[in-house]
Amino acid sequence: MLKGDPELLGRVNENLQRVGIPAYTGSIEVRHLLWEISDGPGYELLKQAAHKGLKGLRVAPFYGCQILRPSKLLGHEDPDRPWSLERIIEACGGEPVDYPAKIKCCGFPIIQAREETALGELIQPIEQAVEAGADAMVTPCPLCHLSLDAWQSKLKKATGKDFQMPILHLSQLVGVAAGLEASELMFKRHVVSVDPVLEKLEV
Amino acid sequence: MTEAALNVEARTMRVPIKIWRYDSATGERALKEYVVDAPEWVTLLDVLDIIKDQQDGSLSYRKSCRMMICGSCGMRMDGAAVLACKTRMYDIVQSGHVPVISAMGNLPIVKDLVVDMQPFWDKFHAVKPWLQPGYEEPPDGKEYIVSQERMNPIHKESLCINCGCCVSECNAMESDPEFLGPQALAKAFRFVGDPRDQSDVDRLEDLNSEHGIWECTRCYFCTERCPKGVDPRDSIAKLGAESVKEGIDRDLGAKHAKWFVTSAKTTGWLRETELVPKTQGIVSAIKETRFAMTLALKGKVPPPVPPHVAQDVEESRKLYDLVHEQGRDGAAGIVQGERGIARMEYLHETSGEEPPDADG
Repeated sequence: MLKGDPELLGRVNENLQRVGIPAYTGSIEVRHLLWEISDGPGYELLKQAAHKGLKGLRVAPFYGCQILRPSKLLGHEDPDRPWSLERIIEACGGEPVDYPAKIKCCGFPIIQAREETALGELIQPIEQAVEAGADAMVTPCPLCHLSLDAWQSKLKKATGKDFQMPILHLSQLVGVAAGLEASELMFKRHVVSVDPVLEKLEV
Repeated sequence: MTEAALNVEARTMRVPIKIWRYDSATGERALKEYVVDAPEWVTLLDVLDIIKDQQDGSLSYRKSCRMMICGSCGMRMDGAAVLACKTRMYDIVQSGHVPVISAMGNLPIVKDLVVDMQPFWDKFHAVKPWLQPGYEEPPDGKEYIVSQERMNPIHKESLCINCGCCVSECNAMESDPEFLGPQALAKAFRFVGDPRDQSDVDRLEDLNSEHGIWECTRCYFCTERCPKGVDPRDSIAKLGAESVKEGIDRDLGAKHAKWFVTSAKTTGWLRETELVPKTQGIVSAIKETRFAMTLALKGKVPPPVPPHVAQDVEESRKLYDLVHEQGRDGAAGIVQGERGIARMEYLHETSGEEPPDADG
């Protein structure tokens, strides 16, 4: 955005200079892990690294809003028919599970200011993933990870539905497929236990 | 050139399409498939016209201008809201994909692709979408002249054609139908940002209500769907910033946003652990103790004391003071995201040639 607006870039850099921070040149391309390992050399590396596989684990991809939209600024994939997470799940030896809410919002940005509205959003992907027969969900977004994992207890309180859906961060999914230890992947910090997944994979 | 002449010259293609038909009187709903022969240049709206004309006169949809300015023909293609008159069919037909057309979301369906826009208009009226200049006559008794520069910050909001595509996929509104939503809020910013309007503070007060700006869930579907480049999420963010600037910060959303600023200023980091009490207040936070303990036991809550202070926190503090001192007044004070995007697109299409100056 700044690269396309020299006037704005000039103002930003003037301010940065005044507080003693080096100017922003826009020469660094910001890339997400999801994009890095879903295509090109990163994807080839992923396939080598994921030697232990996922034994056909049924994984529901959950993208997160700001990795898809606004697509004009991000541009990695079609925001309505994304493919990168599915491709990574397959490369890791899992089976991607499809469901409509995978591109929607988890509600996290308003989970403190408007909890009821947020929970109304959060329940959709989890419920749909359960219905689609997923063993676990995976997301590249740390905030989606937190709300999907930690706020399931609040969903239970609000709706009586106890989903117990294990939520993996993208890096953890790759870690499991690459044979990292459960302790290294910090599963002990999850609110919903990941044990059913690990048992299935005999980790 | 007449349409007939165009028809003669254009090559035709076979267009398969599926449409969700719905009759609210009987509650019947069915996915019907149609195949029409049409010129290669047709839009989705043209295809619907051909179906209605040649195959099924009972198909219902709205249309008027056929040139992306009346906002009548908003509908969903494969679940995504589009203007039927803006959607060319050629590439879709070439790809072999058979698109599924349905009515917009978040509004009650009347018949087939026609939705009841009343909830939409109610929210539109709720933000008082008219100028409140606060004077009977302009100061010089003749006319009130506004510079282009002062109008630029609300230019993209002025382009809204009230089609409802943003509302169709608003995730927060799906969960709470009372949420004012992206169209009404973008329209509200068009008046809050108007230099002639004198009721900014009253407007911001109203917009800070339960179903106002802070209920936006930042899903960016509105921005993604808008066929006119309004970028409603950007407008909502600006309304939030204007509210805080005017001291309207009672909403939990505003308190939440302000804590990010305080955190950055004091430590250069986000002080996450204090985010809940700072957003919700101590009493509510105590009610959340059990939930917080669950997270704490899992090691998700870092101890707030001593705070983790960034090595270069001075930079962050100086930047805060500088931005504070400059304020955000006037046209140049509001980040013009869309303008930057438009320029990028232009440069891309013309391989580096600068766009013409807007002032000629």
